Amino acid sequence: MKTWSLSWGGLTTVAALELRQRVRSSRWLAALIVWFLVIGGITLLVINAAQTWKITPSQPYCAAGACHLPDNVSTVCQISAAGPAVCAPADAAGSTAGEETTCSVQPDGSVLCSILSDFRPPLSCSVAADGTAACSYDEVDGWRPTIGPLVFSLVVLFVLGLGLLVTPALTATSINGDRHAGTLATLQATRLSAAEIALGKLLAAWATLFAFLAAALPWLATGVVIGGLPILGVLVCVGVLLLELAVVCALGLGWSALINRTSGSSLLTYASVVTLSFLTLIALVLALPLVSTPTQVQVWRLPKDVQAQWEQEMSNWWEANDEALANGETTVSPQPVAPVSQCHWETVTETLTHTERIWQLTVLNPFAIVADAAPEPPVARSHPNLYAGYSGDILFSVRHGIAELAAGPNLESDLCPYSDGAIGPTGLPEASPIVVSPSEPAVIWPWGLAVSLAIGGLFFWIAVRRLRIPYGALPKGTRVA
Amino acid sequence: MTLPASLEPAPERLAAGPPDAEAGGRTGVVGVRAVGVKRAFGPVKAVDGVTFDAPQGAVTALIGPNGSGKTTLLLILAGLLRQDSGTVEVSGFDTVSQNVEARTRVGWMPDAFGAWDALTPTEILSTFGQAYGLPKARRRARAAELLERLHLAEFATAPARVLSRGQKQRLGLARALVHEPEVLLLDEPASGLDPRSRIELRDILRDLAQAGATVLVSSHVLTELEEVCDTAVFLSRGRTIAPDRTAAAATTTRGWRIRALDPASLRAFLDAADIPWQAGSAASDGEVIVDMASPESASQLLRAAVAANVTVHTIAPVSGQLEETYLALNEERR
Repeated sequence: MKTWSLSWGGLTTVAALELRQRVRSSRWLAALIVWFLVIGGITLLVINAAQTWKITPSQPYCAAGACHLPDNVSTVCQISAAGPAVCAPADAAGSTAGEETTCSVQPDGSVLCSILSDFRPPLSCSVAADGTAACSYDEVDGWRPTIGPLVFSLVVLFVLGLGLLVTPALTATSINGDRHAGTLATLQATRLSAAEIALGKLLAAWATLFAFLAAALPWLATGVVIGGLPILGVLVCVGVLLLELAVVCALGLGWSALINRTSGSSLLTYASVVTLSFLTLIALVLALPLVSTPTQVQVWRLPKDVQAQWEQEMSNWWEANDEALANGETTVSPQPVAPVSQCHWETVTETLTHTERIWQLTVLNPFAIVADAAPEPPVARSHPNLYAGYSGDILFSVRHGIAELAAGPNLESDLCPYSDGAIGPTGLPEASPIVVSPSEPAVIWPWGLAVSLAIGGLFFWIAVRRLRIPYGALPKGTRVA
Repeated sequence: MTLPASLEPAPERLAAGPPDAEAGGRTGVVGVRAVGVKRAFGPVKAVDGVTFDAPQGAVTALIGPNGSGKTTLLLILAGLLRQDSGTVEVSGFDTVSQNVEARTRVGWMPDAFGAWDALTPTEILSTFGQAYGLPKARRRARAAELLERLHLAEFATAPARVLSRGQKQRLGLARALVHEPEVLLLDEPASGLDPRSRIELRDILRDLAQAGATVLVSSHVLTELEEVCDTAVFLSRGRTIAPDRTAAAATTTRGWRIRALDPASLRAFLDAADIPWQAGSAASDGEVIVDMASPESASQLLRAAVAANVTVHTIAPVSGQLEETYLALNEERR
């Protein structure tokens, strides 16, 4: 069919025509400079804020005889000038759970402490003989907390967010606008096919977005370099971002071919973007009650009577020792130990929210798709909790959230009252019978991208159909020329 | 060659000989052939039965009042609009089944030419050359040549927005000519042109026809068409007027314009004498047109009118044959 024939010459004719007009007629240079400054300004403000307020990825600091984590609450080293320096991690409550400290005296007389934690990046603190101390994070799987992932995340989100705002303006009036200006029909009457006109316009709009991406590139690169992010992953993420914006270009093109009035097609294009970006999230939230259903859950617990008996024993023990504990006495009678060997599986009916049935709504969301395609350093797989807490990687948090939605609620839980409290690598007590398979979180972006491209393809197809000549039935209110 | 629904070419133009096959369309093919073409927009029958041939090497006028379907017909001929029924061949190619072949042989100039205001005439022309697949060197040369020919060379590198309406109209013609079309379709090409440009337009159209192209011009400025066209096609309410009717209209008694200082008394006089009349094209002046067989009849009428104290100041034959035919055909409207 001639409508769909494509030639390089035809495509470049239309694309060059569109780009030349855009360069001549709008203040594109000013727009690019403003864009560069806005993204840069935000990046610098974030870096500054992170340093001022000791937001997660900044370094621990030592002052006034103690070393602190940037959260301003946890103290990792108390330095005593009198005796040899000792590092002992402590949070505000004085608890040292889950942390392990080893200190050694170095040949020069200083003390080097290494502090390991499941929830913090490992720290090295050294205390010199004169009592001055310094702390820094150690690498985990080649990663140490920096501001890089935060900067990268923010720039990607801003380029995507502002791109979603800018893109409709590039194509949403391109077909009906040309029709009103009387320039479309003369072009259609030439040798150019409908597909060449539509694709040429699409490519020209897309090329304009490349210019906006290029203006944001220095800031994006800042994040990549500081964070040491894997280049391949960065390219995939940026590629997915550009394809998502290309889909928006196609949406605008389709609406501008369908709707005769330019204001109508602009409105519908923006409405489409809002639908994909926000209404999918609102729909997800509103659908939550629909998937909250009574579900049979397996619980590992003591038989009811044994549990009640043990609780009574505990209550008696607290009553007997309450005063002694309050006075700080350490010589109290041992706590009663629960008969955990009697723990067994029980089937209980609970109302659970089955997000695994509706998480697919996120697959339509461009932010979710781009976040899912974001580069992932190895540490994000090996120590996900650590990375989530200390990287400032917003894209990772989004992906993590989607993975949890997709996984749905746990159908097994462990309520057995273990006394030793040792926590296994999965976050469950070591003695728990629940086996968490270390499955890789699902990668959703190829699916999301495929759905997006299908929608974009549909709208592109509509645009081509509406440009096909000779026109049969004309939509109401449309003139050929 | 039989020319249904059209006037016979003027004898001196026939003397110019058959069209040069090399310069324009292919031999043995009618430039534009429309048979029983109909096209409706919803309940509106814009084109409702058009049948005509436009020969190669000639300028064919497409004449009809506003709303008679001229623009719609040209859109169909340009391959932009599909007819509901009937067939259209352009340079021998069907505009529906061989749309690309047909439309690349057509240069179409719409009544309202939209220019890309930010681009220069040179860029606009070479863009269209590229759109028609001309090689780079050729389209550059062609753009320069056409700008020179249409006296736009001094604006070659100025943005199109600085062009006046007439200059834009000339640019529109250049645009339609950029790929050296075999068939040229012009929709009201003279509107907005100053007298000198109109004369130049006429010369250009004649030259193109001389070189073998098929030129179809729609207009309602009849005197201007008369000077340039070889044949004419009359459209009324979306239909071509049957050839015997146009022929009859062309050979009827001649119309005479009569004007008086007091138009009312002139009309009263004519009515009293039972002489049929119709309002002329300058009806606001009270002009009337009376069909008379000979100058003797005119002289008689004038004498009688003066005797009846009608203040006649002008009596003259209606100038153009086209206008007369046009008026004869439009009589039915009133």
